Amino acid sequence: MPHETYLARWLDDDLDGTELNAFEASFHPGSPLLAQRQARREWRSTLAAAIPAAVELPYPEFFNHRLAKTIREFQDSPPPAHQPSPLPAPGFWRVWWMPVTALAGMGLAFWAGTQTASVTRGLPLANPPPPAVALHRPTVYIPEHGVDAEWFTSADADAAVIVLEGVEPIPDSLDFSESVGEITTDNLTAASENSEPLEVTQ
Amino acid sequence: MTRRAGLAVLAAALCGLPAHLASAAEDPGKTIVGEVTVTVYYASDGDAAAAGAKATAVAKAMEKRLRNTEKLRFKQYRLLGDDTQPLFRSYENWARPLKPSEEVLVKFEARNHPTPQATHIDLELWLSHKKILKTDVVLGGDHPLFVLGPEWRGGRLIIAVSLAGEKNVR
Repeated sequence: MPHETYLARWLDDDLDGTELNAFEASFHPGSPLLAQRQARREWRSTLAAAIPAAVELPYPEFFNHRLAKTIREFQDSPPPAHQPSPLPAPGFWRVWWMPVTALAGMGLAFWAGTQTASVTRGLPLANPPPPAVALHRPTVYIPEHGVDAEWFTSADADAAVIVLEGVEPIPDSLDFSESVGEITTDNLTAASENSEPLEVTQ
Repeated sequence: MTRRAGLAVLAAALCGLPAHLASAAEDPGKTIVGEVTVTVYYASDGDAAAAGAKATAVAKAMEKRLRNTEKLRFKQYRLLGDDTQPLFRSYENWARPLKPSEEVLVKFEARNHPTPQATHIDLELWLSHKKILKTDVVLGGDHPLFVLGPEWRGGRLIIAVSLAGEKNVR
């Protein structure tokens, strides 16, 4: 086992028995490593006192929702063109500092999250205005093979329109009579008031 | 910054976590910032009776809007169903306009905080439990989205997505 690995384990008090004796015999009693190990022990004690054993998430439903969404988006995205080469084995300093850096990042990210309502130069960062209706060109994604989509705006209808072609037809045997019975009152009123046929100009 | 000072900063940040968690009693993500209406129309050049005896006539203004767009121009239109659901600040929501059937489902989620002029939403159209379309659309004022969808009984389904309260959409 490399010396660095032994050193990391020794600093974590993870060595015992023969390994511990053999390793401690390799440096003199006044070595600065002893001070490092003591500092590491104090650090662990500080963390254990600061972090509660169990923390309830502030909005568990929100986190679950975002997590599920991220997983879905990850599954929707195409696979990478090539597999990245495996990372080199972590060195001693990476082993030592990665958890510390990660914890510091978590703490700072949480603090930053509480400051999202802050205002910079008069613009609320958390609520950028939506784009103008007329200027917006949407992103259209069609996951199904064989389905095409055409998007355009209809000035006459004052609406955005997406035309789907190649969609599998809905079986004629399906009946939506029950849904018709649940149409809102507003719709029924509007329909009855305007039920006269229009002239067809096709 | 020395290592000891860095550790002190981190410990202080971590010690502050429980206080923040305790004060987070209500979820602001559930705030309702609007309402979205999804309506399904049957459009056909054949006999409108194919939509079923219970299918209702479509408002005159709505028929006119549809006919004004060449790709949506049919001889007959019928209203099959609609559903209005709240638009949450951070959560997605679903509309099921043909309930109890789940043949047509629309999932939507706010992208920005809506303004009186525009509401930017992410939108997915699911047909027969398959995601057919994913897009983002800006709805505003009286500006809906029409999707010319699948064939059914000799016609096509048109799915309209609008903000609840738009006067001429339904």
